[in-house]
Amino acid sequence: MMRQITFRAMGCQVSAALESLTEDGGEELDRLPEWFEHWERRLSRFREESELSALNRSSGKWVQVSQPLWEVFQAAREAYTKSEGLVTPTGLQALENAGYDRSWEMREQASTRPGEALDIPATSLDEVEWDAGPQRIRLPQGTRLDFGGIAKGWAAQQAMLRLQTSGPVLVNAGGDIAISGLQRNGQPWPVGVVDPFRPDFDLELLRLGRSGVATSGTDYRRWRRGDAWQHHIIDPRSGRPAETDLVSVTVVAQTVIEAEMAAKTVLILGSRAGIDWLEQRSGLAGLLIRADGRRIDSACLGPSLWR
Amino acid sequence: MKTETVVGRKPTHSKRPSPTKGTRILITSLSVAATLGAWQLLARQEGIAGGGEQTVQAARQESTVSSVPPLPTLVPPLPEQVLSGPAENTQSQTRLLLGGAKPQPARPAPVARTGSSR
Repeated sequence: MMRQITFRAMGCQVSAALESLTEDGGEELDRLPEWFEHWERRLSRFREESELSALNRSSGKWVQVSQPLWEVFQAAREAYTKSEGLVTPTGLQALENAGYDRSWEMREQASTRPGEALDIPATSLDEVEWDAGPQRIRLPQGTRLDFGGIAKGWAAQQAMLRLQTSGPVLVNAGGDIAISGLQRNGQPWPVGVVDPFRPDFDLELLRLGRSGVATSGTDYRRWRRGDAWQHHIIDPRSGRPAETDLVSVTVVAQTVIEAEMAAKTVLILGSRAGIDWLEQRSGLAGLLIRADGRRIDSACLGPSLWR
Repeated sequence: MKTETVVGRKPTHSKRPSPTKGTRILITSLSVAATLGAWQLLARQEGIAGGGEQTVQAARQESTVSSVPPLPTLVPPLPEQVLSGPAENTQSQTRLLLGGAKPQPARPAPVARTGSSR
């Protein structure tokens, strides 16, 4: 029996589909909103009372953190290393300078404020100190963290791991999707890839077993600041929204966190360097859409396409 | 005592044909020739047989095909195939073009969609 749930959390639409092995096996699914609320209280930069906001207010001091925040911090470190510094949680100041200084829902309600974006390269994550024993973190003075898509990917992965004992499951946190394995009938899960130019349509249908998939794009969370369009994908090298010829990148990987990291890295690099970066790494398949409408498939995407 | 048995040997006949038998062969040959001639005449009239006719028929079919413009694709490409733009990967592009002419297997509805976070 397929059970589904949809709700809003972490500033995006969250959904899950569970093929319950027993009649009452899907009850765990009803706890999903509660889990996400718990994680959001820890990880959101938009909530003053969140654990992350408290950590950001305590720069320069050692702060012991909870297990979820610790795990997301470690996932962010791994993404930072694998992306060669392009995906970092230390780009918050640059993101706020560009105008993304409140949750997206709040931004849409507020009028656009003109102003100058500042060129402030992000602090290197290597400057953040951490101590695995007591799970402590010390931020350099003035540095704040924003886990962004890594936190959403981690939450989707955690939810999938908890629910998979009840049956095959798919968890989708705003396009970051974690899949436990094939469906009960042995078929892969059909996952649509949104057309960035016509968001109500899918431009491709993926067939996925145990894997993660994520999309990073400049087509939605964008706004005008003065005469220029801004978006939320910051290039830490410049401290400004990435100048890229790509409008959307979808990556299939072993885990959703890896897919999230890879999609953002390729988007920042642009189509030429991005497809090279992707092809050089095993276990990653990507679908890139350029702003001029051209589509680029990585060499190993074929088996993931529904034909 | 040794016994010799010959299997399949035809009985020996006189090599000189009898006059009655020669007449019978002549009549048979004439009737076969008459039948073939009549059949060929009929076939030519109805235009259904004969080596020369076959060549003419084939040439007509070819000219008919070449004079008709190519037929449009009977199965229209899916909207996403048209609007997502050409694929840079040559293999993907070939697969897309061929995909428009073949009957598409039924696609299931997506259980989830991935795109920019909304």
